[in-house]
Amino acid sequence: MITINDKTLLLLSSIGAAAFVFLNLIKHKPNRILPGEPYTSFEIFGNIGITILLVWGVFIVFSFVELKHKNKIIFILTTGLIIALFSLLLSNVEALIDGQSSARISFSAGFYVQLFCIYMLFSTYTERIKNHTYIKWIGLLSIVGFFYYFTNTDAFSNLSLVKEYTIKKEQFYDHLRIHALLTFASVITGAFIAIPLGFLAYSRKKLEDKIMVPLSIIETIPTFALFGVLLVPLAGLGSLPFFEQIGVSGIGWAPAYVALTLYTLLPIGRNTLTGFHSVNQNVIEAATGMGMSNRQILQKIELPLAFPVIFTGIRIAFIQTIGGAVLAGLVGGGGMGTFVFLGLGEASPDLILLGVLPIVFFTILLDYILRTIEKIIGGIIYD
Amino acid sequence: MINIEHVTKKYGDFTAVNDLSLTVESSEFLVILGPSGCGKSTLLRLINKMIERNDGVITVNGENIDDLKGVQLRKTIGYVIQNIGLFPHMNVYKNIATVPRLLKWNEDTIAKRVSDMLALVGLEPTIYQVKTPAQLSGGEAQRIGVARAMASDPEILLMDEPFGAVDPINRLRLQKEFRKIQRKLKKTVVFVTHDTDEALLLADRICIMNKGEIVQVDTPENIVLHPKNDFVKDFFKEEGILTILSRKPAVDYAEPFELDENPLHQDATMRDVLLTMLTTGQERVSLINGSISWDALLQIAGSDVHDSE
Repeated sequence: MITINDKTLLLLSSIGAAAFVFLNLIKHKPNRILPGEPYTSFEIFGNIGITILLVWGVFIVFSFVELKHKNKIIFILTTGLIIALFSLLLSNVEALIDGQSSARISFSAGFYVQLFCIYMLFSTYTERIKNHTYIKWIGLLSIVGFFYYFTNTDAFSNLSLVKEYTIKKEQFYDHLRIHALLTFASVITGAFIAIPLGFLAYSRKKLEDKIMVPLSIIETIPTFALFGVLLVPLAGLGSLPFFEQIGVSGIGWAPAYVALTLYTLLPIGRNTLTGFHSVNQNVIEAATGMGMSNRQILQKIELPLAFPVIFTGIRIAFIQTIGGAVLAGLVGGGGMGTFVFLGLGEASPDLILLGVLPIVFFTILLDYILRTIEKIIGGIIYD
Repeated sequence: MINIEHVTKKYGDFTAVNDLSLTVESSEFLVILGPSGCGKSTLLRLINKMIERNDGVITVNGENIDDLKGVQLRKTIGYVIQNIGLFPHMNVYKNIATVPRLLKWNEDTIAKRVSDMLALVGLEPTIYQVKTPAQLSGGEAQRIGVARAMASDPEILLMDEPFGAVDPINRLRLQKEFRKIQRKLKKTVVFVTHDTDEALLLADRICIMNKGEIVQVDTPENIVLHPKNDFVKDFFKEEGILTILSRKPAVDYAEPFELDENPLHQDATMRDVLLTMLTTGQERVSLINGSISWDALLQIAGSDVHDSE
């Protein structure tokens, strides 16, 4: 009787192995426009590359057996897998390019699926070996060191993604800044509006539906429609001297900012209401009975106890907005969406990826940072 | 002293408290007893202005509560509820320090007071003041609730089924300890419960309520032996007399007649004496300062009848 010991490992390594065997790893394009020729993992990695497939196979076997240092071994192998995947790929595409300056390499599904599986394994097993600080940091540092070393060579320069980045380098950082600015401005404005609204809905029972229903309705309006609706009033507003000066108009950053802010109202407002509702009534009764004024109850009891839930709402709003801000590209608002829609227009998947990958990266990073802040705040509020 | 005169509280058409008058003496332990929905909790919350009444006058220590702000009044009255309501984000120290801090005591006085209060309810101050409510057992949390209510040394304590959520063994211990504390500190206590044993064990006087009105106010003995009507009689059943016996320390009734056998322990009550007789078949039970006979026991159980008649 075979028992599965580790379902996560089995699932991820099976997908990884299947991607190695069945999916194309990269496309070699003679230039930016031509569709290019696909290559499989076997063709690119060659004989040494079979070890990558072997590691996937070992993982599959590991998911059925009980081993003493299994988590540590898998973590180390995963770290090796990341480095092996990139270094083999980079050294072997050199021959394909053969010095042609317009030729480039695009990643295909096989690469992304394997990378995704490796990333999932890496984050899962980083969590599982969290007590072995040394191994964890050696693993993390060797990956960072590896990428740092290779970015200083021109090993990446044949990649289509890097070529797109090199051409658009200046715009890239401008748009990244705009994207960040839009995200932060919208969420912070949203928080300033939605937290008082959520509190009002909590403290005046009669207003609860009158506040929450419109917020829900806003959330259901498609972004395109919302831009359309905002076009006329914002254009009108932009004709006033002050607003004209700061650049408000029917297109550009203004509609993107307004729309993104509106979309943050529901997650933040809803979590504020839930946060206040989650405060135990006995606690409030006790506080009242001890002679606290309503204001003191709000400051010392309700707000601190509701805050973790409210902050979760803000975190959700951030994650939602960082992705949603792509749509600013549609109305000339800038941000990473500019590359996405440009890429769509030019049928250049790598340009789209240039817009999307930083968003994925920053979403993961921001989520991690905000979760850490959440824990720290929780520690401050709770003795 | 609390004086309640012709007080009425209505919720729409429903009359929760109906033209009720009651006086609670200083240092008295008054238990308000009644079925759910009889208005006992409402009455309690009218006293500290947690809810406003429709009619009548309430004075606390001679002052009409209408002349005081609710917030001010409540700072001077301890309040304990069934589910305690400890603040989950504050440690035990901060919980107990709540009212002293509202009253702006200086921090040294507060620290001393917190430590005294913990000692009073039988918890080691250095260990417990840094714990959070989540780390406390039900019984410990309830003790902290009592300590918190008494932190500013209020003369009056209002308690709404404070031991209701504690398991039976711990409840009995808490009840006995609290009774001792109340005797020692001479607090005026108004205590709401629907548990007849609890009422008989703790009360100086019991006030039985039904449908927003007082049915009978009297000492536990008189209520058990002379129930005013069938409602009261049904409420207590016959076992009430056993609880009455459990209030009486056996040593107080010892006859100077030494028996040559192991005596009952020092804290034994008349109820323990009766149980010993029933289980061993003896007609005389040995105590540390003498013994008690079956005839004496019968007389003691019935003595309240003669006292009041």
